[in-house]
Amino acid sequence: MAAHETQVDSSELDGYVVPAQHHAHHFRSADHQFATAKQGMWIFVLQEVLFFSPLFVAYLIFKFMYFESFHAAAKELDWVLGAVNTVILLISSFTMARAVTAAQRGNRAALSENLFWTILCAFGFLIVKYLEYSHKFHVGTLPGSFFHNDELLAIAPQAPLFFTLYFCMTGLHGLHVAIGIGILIWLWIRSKRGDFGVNYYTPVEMTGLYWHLVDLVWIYLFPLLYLVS
Amino acid sequence: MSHHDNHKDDHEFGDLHHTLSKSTTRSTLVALLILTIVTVIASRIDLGSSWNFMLAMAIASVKALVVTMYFMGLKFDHIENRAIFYSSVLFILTFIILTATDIFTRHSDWQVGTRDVFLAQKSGSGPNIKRPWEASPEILAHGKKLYDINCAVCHGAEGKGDGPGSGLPIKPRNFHDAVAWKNIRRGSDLNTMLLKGIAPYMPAYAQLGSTDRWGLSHYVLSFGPAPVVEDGKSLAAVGIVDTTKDDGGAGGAPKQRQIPIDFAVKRYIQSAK
Repeated sequence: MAAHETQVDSSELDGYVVPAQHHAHHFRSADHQFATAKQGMWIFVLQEVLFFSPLFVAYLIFKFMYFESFHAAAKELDWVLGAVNTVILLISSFTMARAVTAAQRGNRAALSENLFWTILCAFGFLIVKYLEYSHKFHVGTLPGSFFHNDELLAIAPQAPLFFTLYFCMTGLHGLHVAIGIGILIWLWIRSKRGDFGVNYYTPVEMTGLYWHLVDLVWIYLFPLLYLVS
Repeated sequence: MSHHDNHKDDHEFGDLHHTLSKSTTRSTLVALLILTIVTVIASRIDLGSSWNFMLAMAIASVKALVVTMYFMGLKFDHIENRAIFYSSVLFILTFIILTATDIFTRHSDWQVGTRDVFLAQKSGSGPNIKRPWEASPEILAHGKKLYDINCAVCHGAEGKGDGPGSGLPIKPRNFHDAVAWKNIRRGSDLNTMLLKGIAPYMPAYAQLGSTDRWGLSHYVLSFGPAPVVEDGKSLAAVGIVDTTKDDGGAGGAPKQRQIPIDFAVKRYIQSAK
C-alpha cells in the first residue's frame, strides 16, 4: 500500500464517496473478491498468450523454411510505421497504468483523462494500421491467392505465404485493439459517472491487464515481422 | 487505504492494491522506449541472421518482462499470479521447441523456391546426386532413407501397406501387389504422384526437392516389377529436359521468372544503401 503517499480521495471532495464493494457470499471480503478477479484475469492472459502462439509458431516454421522469401517480403513492410505503432502502444500502456493509479487513489478526473489518452492512442494505432493495409492492397501484397505483385513474386516465391501470416497476425492483434477500444470507451463512460474509486476499481484493473497484454503481443510482432537486417 | 473491511487479507494476496507511483510509471515508459530504439538499431547491424533474430527476441523479452513486472504489477503481486504467467511462457516455449525438433531434423531438401516446382536439380540440403532419373545405388540409398522417414508409417517398412498408420478406410498401397503397378510403371509417374498427392487418400509431398522424389520413386519401383523405360517426353514432364547433362538441363538454379530491368536496378540501389 502506498501509505507514504498523500491519499487524496477526490471522490470524497465531490461529496460523493464510492461505497465499499459488496462482495459475493463465497468471498471472505471485498479484497478476497478482488484478488480472485485479478487471478482470473491472469489466467485469461495465459490463455491469450497461447491463443496467439500458433500463429507465432507457424510464422517461425515458415520463416526458417523459406528464409530468403520471407526476408525479401518483410523488406516490403514499412518498419518506420511499425516503430511508430510500437511507440504509440507503449505510451498507451503508460496512460493505462496512470489510469489504474488514478482509480486506486480515487482521482476521478485523472482516471477519465488517462482513459481518454489511452483510447486516442489506440485509435492512432488503428489509423497507422489502416495506412499500412491500404498500401498493401494498392501494391497487391495480399494473402495467398489474392496476392498479385509479380515483381516481388519473382524474388520471393513464398511472399503470398508471408503476407497471409502478416495479415492474420496483425489482423488478430488489431481486432484485440478494436475490442479494447470498445471496453475502454465503456470504462470511460463509467468513470465519468463516478463508478470507480478507492473502494472499487476492479474493471479498471482488469482492463489494464488486458491492454498491457495487447501491448505485449505487439512487442513481439514488431521485431518478428518488421525488423529484418 | 482506510476503507478496506479486512486488513488481514491485504498481505494474504500479495500487495493487492499496490499503486505505481508517477515516477515509476514514467521510468518504465522511458526504459521501454529506449529498448525499442535499441531493437531498431540492433536490426541495422548485421550479426548474421540467426544472431540478429535471437538478439531481437531477447530484447523483446526484456521489454515484455518490464511491461509484465511494472505496468501489469506482477512484481508486487501474489506469487500465484507470477506462477500463472510463467507457466504460459513455459507452454509457448514448449510449443516452439518441440516443433523445432521436428522441423530442424528433417533431412530432405525442401527449398521449394519457385512456382515451377519441377526442379531438375537439388536446392537446399539434399545430396547432389548426378542423373537422378537413372537408378543407381546412391539414389536408391537416399530414397530408402527418405522412405523410412516419410512413407513407412503407412506403407510399411517393406512396402506391404502394413505400416502402423495403415488403419485407414482405404488401405495404403501394397507395392508388392500387381494391382499397384497397373497404371504406374515409370519413375516419372511416381514423381508426379509424390508432387501432387492422391486426394483424398495420400497427401502431396511438394516440399521434397526433385532429387528426393527421384530417390523415393526408384526405391518404391524396386518393390514391383521391372519399370517401363522412360522416354524423353515422360522425363521432360518432370523437368528433365536434357539427358546429356548431369542435372537434367535445368542449370542448377530454379527456373525464375524474368525480373524487369528497372526493378532489378531499383533493388540493387536499395540494397546498396
